[in-house]
Amino acid sequence: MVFLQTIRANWRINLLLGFFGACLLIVIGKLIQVQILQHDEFLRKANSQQSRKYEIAAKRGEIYTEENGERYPLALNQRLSYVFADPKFITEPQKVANQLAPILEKNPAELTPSLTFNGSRYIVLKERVSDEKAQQIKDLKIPGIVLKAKDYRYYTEGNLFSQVLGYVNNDGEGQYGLEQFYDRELTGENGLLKAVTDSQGVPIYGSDNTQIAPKDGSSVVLTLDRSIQSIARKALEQAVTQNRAESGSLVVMDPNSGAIQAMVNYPDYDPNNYQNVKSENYGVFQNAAVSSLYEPGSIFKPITMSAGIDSGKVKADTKYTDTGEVTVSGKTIRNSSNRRLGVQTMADVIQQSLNTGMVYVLMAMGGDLGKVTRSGKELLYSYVTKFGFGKVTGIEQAGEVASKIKDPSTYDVDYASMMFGQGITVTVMQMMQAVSAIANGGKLYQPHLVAKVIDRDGKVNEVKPRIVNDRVISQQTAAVIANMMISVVQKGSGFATRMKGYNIAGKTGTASVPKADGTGYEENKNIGSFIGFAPVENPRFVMMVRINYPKVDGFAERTAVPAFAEVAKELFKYYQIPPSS
Amino acid sequence: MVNRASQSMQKRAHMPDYSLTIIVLLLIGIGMIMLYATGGIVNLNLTGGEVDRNTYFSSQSISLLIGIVGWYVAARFPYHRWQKYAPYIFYGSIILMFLVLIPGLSQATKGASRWVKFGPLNFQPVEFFKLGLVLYLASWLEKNRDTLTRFTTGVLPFMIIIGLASFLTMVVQKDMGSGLVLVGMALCVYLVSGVPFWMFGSVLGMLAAGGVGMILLYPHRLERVTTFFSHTEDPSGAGYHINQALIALGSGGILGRGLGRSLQAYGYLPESTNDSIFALIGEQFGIWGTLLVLILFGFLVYRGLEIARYAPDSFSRSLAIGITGWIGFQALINTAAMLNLIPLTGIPLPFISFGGTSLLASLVAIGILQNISKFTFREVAHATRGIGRRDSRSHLTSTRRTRRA
Repeated sequence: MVFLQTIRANWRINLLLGFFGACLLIVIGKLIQVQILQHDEFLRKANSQQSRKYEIAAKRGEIYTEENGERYPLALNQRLSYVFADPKFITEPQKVANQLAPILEKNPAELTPSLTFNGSRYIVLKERVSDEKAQQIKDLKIPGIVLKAKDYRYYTEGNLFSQVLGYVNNDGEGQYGLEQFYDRELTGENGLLKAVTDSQGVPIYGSDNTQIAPKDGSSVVLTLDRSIQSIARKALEQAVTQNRAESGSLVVMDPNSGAIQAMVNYPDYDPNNYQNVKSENYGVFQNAAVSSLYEPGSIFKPITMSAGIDSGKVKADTKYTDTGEVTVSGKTIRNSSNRRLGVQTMADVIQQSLNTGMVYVLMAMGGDLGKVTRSGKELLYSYVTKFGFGKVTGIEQAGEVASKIKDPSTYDVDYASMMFGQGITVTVMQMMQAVSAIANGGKLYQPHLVAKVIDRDGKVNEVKPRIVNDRVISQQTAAVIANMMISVVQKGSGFATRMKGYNIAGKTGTASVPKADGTGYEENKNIGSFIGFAPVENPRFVMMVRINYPKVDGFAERTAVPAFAEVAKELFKYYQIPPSS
Repeated sequence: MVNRASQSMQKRAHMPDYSLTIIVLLLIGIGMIMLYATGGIVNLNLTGGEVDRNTYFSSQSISLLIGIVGWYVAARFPYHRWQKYAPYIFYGSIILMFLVLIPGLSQATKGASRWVKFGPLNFQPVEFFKLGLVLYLASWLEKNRDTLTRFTTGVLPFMIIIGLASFLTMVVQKDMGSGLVLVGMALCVYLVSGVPFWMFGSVLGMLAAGGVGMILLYPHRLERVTTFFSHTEDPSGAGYHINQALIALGSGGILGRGLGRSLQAYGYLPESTNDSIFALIGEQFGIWGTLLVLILFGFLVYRGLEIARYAPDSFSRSLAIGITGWIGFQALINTAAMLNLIPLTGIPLPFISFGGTSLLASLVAIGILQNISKFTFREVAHATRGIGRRDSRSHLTSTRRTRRA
């Protein structure tokens, strides 16, 4: 039996040898097929899954102001880290959460779900992690917790320039304000990396990668002045809170160039923590000075009066009789205070802010003192558009909105209302641009925020002021209107900003707010605004204050004018403008 | 009489089969080089970008030191003494196999629960079980060799042993690959033990029926089988694993990308230091690398079978066949799965894949095989092919003659 087994074993071992030999040949055959015959096909598959194209982020340009020749940064790039988790490698989420919580300043309970594997391999735990904290996390050596460096935008002045600058989101895109408007220039051109990567898309170091270097973005120097900006913000905040208003805007501009010196809105936000703004408050991201339309009311009167004076149809001493009301196409237009002042000059019309007088000007422009004519409307329309209304100003801000004016084919009564700023809508920026033309003797400048562009090689390109229209009105007309506006401050509604020794020209407006359904105006809602410039003989600034929906009684003289006065007083000091008399 | 003859031979030990030593050292060397070159890459994900080669390499080095001690001791330990301990080792290894059912000790990965965690010690009981089963089968066949030809004493107990092994691997641990290795290994031993062909045939038939039953019973196994036939590209499933293994092998081509230049190890190929290491050898060394590995395994199987052929007694022959079948089937199943010749099953490539238990168990097995090689009729290791054949004939005829006499 045993020997029978031995003989059997001998040939059965040969059988096994044959079996394993045959299997070996099959495996080798398949190996030749896969590694030699199908090599090209598999190499193609390998390349297509292993190599990827990547954008290399260009360094974003920075934003500065310049004071006394020295640059001061407003928006910088800060190299920080972000922490993300690859929960696949985290075995004890609870323990890791407890380790990380104190460093990330988070609650362990809110971290734990992010650390527990549920299919997702990339969960950002915290952005903007400082180098010190990054080191602490690194020292913990937790598998699956990864730190990556990233450029973050840092706004040195926090809230102060929030709406003008906007912010940069986590994808590196400029949002709102200058960041969005100048996004392409600031971003530069991203480079390209064609890299061999791991399965998570991370380039493999030392592999055969081709690279196109990124072109960094340009930096910009703004016309804004930090000191004026902060004076403006303080005054505006005070005006909004004291009047229990909803919001407000304040802009200061150089009328001789269109350079913006201060531009604030209130309430504002901190662009370093823009994500903390609640969704119901997203409106705060908008720069209301360029994006918020409203019916300007009486502050529009200097513009329409300019049309009358410049066209030669009325003069400053042209008299008319104020009966307290005037009828246009069967509709009665009254003065705001229902006064009837009898015989008045055009100068009085501005000083007293008489609606009837403004309708008189429109009729005079049409050549028929009894009614509004088509030619009068067309003449007014040509002036209003020359002042820049109906278009955007082109200031370097995202979301600028064009004012809406009615063309001469609309009803006479609409045009009559337009004479005193009703039935049209404007932005603060457009009012500033137009009134600057009165201040500077008739030139319409494009308002601008960028003084210099510094390209990535350090070459500085100065931005020259752009004149949109060389002569909107004559110098004489401008002087006449300026004088009328001085009297508003000296004797009229702008008295609160009267300052000894300084000639300030201005005009108040307390605008009604049209009802949303278009049936007339809201009862207890108004927007108070004041626009003015000084010193009149050599204007250094135009300023406008707008206060939305104050909850105190009274007109713009109580809501907007004090803020103007506050800032103007500081500006005289700041510019060291001596009193003229 | 033969027993006496073989025992007298055992006393006259000759040189062991050193070619086995060389083959195994070469395979281990390839494995260590692979772990050094690619272990760091695989570790990237764990350390968040900092390459730390040492985790895999140093861990495997420690396992290797322990394994070499085991190898040496087994090679010195007289093989016939295993016969006495075989049942205890087998029962002990069965108990170890059940440890994966204890929740605190078990560590499940990808549908299989192969790992037992014992404090700092992580091990795969199935590797000890393979050793236990080889020893037990050999001793069982030796003890019952006179009654093997009856169904109730020859087929039934064998089926029970195979059934137990399949149950422990495929059902308890949900580990298809190891089950296949064990069944294949047992069949080799059974075949060579000299049972009549009708018995071997009926065992094969019953196993085939059982195999179909298993596949239908367990869906994750069914998925592997359907994947094998349908080739899905689902990146999370078994089809993804196979595709990535084929991409690794295929992109390696003839010459390979070069040592340490693997790209598939960067997170594409699952289990790249473990079950899939053969694919990484193909990617980095091309077909020369994979052929070398296959030829080394082929040679190892050849030497193992030759040792069995000239084994001094039927126990040692069964033992040698079992060990050879184990290593041979495990290498075959691993490489065939990587090449998509058979459905994917997760088993390590002996001596090469990362894993201490597998390395230790296979080295002890090789040690036993080497101890047997010291007592063969001929010094197999030093016999040239021609001389070996001639000598073997003379031995066989002489024993036959002795029996007739």
